[in-house]
Amino acid sequence: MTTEDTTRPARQRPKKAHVARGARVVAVGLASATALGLVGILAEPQRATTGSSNDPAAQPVPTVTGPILRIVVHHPVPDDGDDGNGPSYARPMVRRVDAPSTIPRASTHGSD
Amino acid sequence: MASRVQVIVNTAVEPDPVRSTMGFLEHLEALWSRFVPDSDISRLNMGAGGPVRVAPETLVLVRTMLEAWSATDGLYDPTLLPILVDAGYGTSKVDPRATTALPASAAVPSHPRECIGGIIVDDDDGTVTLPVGVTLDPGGIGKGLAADLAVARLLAGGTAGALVSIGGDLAAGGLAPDPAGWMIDVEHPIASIGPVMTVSIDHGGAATSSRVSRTWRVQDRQHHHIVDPRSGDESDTDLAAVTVFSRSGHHAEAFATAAILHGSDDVLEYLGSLDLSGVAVSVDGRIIASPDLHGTQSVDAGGPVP
Repeated sequence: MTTEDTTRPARQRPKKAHVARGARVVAVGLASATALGLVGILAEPQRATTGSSNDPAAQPVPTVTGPILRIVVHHPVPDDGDDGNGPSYARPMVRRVDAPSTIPRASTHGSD
Repeated sequence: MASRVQVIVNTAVEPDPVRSTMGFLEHLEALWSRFVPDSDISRLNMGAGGPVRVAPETLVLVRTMLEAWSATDGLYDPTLLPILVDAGYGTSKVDPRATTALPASAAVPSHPRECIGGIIVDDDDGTVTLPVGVTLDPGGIGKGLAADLAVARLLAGGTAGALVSIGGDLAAGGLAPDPAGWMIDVEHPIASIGPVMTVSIDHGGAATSSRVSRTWRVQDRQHHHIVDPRSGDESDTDLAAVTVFSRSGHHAEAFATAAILHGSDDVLEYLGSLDLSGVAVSVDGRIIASPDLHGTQSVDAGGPVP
């Protein structure tokens, strides 16, 4: 596991949703699929889970070798008072980016 | 779903959002996979015309399938599973022991509108009823919907922002780590070429339909999994891949399926008619992008796609 610490540069930003004060954590996890599961591989040793044993999300995930969990910590930014983190079903703002940032990004591609 | 999963979380509240998301996705896999004998989808497909009690998530899945079929005028069709199985895609790509069970009556509906209309989703009883012979395949919408649900779950749990990608079909919501939005590389169908472009979205989803990413060979013939519902045959589209950006992962996935069927001559007109952004790669290597994605840098087409 690797950890990076970044400070977002001070610059003009569009209004964004309200965020809690305090350090931000961006976790990026990559995992490969097993035959019958979406994920069967994590880099960390198996740990006891909390929560109800009937909660499927709390079931232990099998331990296998693999991939990479990278945590990037962003320093907090001023609260600009905006709120609304719920899902939106409006058309998204889509923009081609010619100078991509170094912040972790996803990829879209045909089925693996 | 036999796919790589990527999770990006901004300002997580729970202690291990990636692990809990993976657990949630495994839960959906157990409900929706046609390769799992006792999944809700497998039990529905073997339901022989009677009501089958399913999980709430599966009620959402089936209802989403029906809505997507209607929205795409049938170009996204969840009832084509017998065609895929007959063509050789009855076995999981990652575990040859995992196969699809179909009843003897399974057939592709000759009158899709009537059969789709005969699918009953009863939210009060928690059941779904399929007409005899009708079977459902979550492929083409399941990954996008799973990503939508996973993101919504993270946001409801207090996470400021989240992106979940399942096999390249993804959803994003809340506050992105970058002020410019969620960054998404659109991969070229030929992986060695590198991204076609990078796109940012403020929320919603992205999905790619490709005729070159998931293929198999039966005897001397190469097959792919893009079936054209209008003909009942594998699509002969001249597009290698189409990526669509939309308001949700499942919406993007259904319309990516519909868009690739339009071919290179019509794909932009189709996307424009729906106010969707997208980019396509033709089999001869041309990059075709909606006007809002043209950008200032040219894209290396990379030559024909094998």
